Amino acid sequence: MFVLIAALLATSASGSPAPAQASQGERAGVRSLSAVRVVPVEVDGDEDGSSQGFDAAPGLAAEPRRSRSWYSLYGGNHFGLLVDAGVPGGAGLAGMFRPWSFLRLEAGLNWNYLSFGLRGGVTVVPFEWGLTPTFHLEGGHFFPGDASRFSTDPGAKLLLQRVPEDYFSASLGLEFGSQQRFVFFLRAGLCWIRSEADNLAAAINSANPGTTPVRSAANVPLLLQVPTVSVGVLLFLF
Amino acid sequence: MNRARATVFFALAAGIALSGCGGRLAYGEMEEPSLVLTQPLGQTVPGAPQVPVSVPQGIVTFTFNVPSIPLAGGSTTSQQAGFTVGSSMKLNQAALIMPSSTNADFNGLDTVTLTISSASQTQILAQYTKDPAHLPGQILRLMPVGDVELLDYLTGGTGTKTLTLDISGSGTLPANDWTADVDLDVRLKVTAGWP
Repeated sequence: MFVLIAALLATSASGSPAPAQASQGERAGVRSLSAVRVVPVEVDGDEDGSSQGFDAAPGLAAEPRRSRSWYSLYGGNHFGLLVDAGVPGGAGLAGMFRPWSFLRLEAGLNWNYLSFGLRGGVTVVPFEWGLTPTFHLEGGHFFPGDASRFSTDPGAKLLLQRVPEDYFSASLGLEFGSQQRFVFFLRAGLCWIRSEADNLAAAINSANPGTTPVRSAANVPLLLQVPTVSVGVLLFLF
Repeated sequence: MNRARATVFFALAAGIALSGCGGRLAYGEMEEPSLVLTQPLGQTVPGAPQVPVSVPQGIVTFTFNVPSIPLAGGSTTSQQAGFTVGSSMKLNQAALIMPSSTNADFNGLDTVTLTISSASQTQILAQYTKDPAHLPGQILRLMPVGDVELLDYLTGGTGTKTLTLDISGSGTLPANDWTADVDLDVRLKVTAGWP
């Protein structure tokens, strides 16, 4: 059972004493409706639909004040889908979770032309604007891929047969579009890549035929710091 | 709250910018911790009477072939396509290894010194001193002395380069004919940065 329990009526005129205002409104025969709220109310002994309850609560009902704590989730869309591509990260597809308006968490898959990989990231959105700035941190791992087809040198081919990669990037970005529906973004920053080359002994011996100059060699860790640029779209689903 | 977020954002942005601009924008580093180069001594040393002798420097000299290693180059710093490339090759350990079929050992040697030289400089590279509690048998290990940059001693053009090494020492030489492989266990580091 619904009962209309409150209505806030106000006249459009202001700045004059109440009696004068009322009389002026009556003269004009016009009243404006500012707000109406309908809420269900249980009224004891009102099974027959009598107006007892209505008469008992004719006034305004104060709207309960919502308490917002730091752990209260964001009111907008929480989940989305992200697609991006860039250098040197490759192309990626990730799911997005936004617990708060200023923070997004991402996890998904990457592909860098050699192999697939896993990725995870955090995006900080300090404020929303027409052109929204972001700070993005991302890390991931690519499973070993075969890059030997990019070289004709027999030694290099051996080195590039199995190339794993771990990476971490930090970038600044700009986003265009609605933060509740669809945004296009552009990011630029720095990327740190760690890889490892094995087969070094075989590669050197292959490059120096006729001898066996290298008895053994450990795997060679390789660290790179390079600029990174990426573009992508983010679709907020629900 | 927005002001706090914006402050954190711009602090992080400044940090990124400084890390990129203060250092090098692009940087690469490759480090091979252990690369064992090996080469036969190339001659059979005749057995010697079992009396202590001293072999002075300059008597036993040989060249060690260093294969072509990508990026190793022949200098410690160079400019390549705008990149500043630095390379380093240093000794972890040197060893003389007799084939197991050889009826001889190094147990009679008291000291062995490996010296590296180029046209302009000479330096002790590695040294062995006998420890009666741990006799070497057929594998004589020489530990590095100082922090010698091997690339400063590489000679030759493109491709295979050579190191000129000299062995001197004292003690009782093996009684039977012997030969050995010379192993140089080196560590290699190459860096490249731009700009």
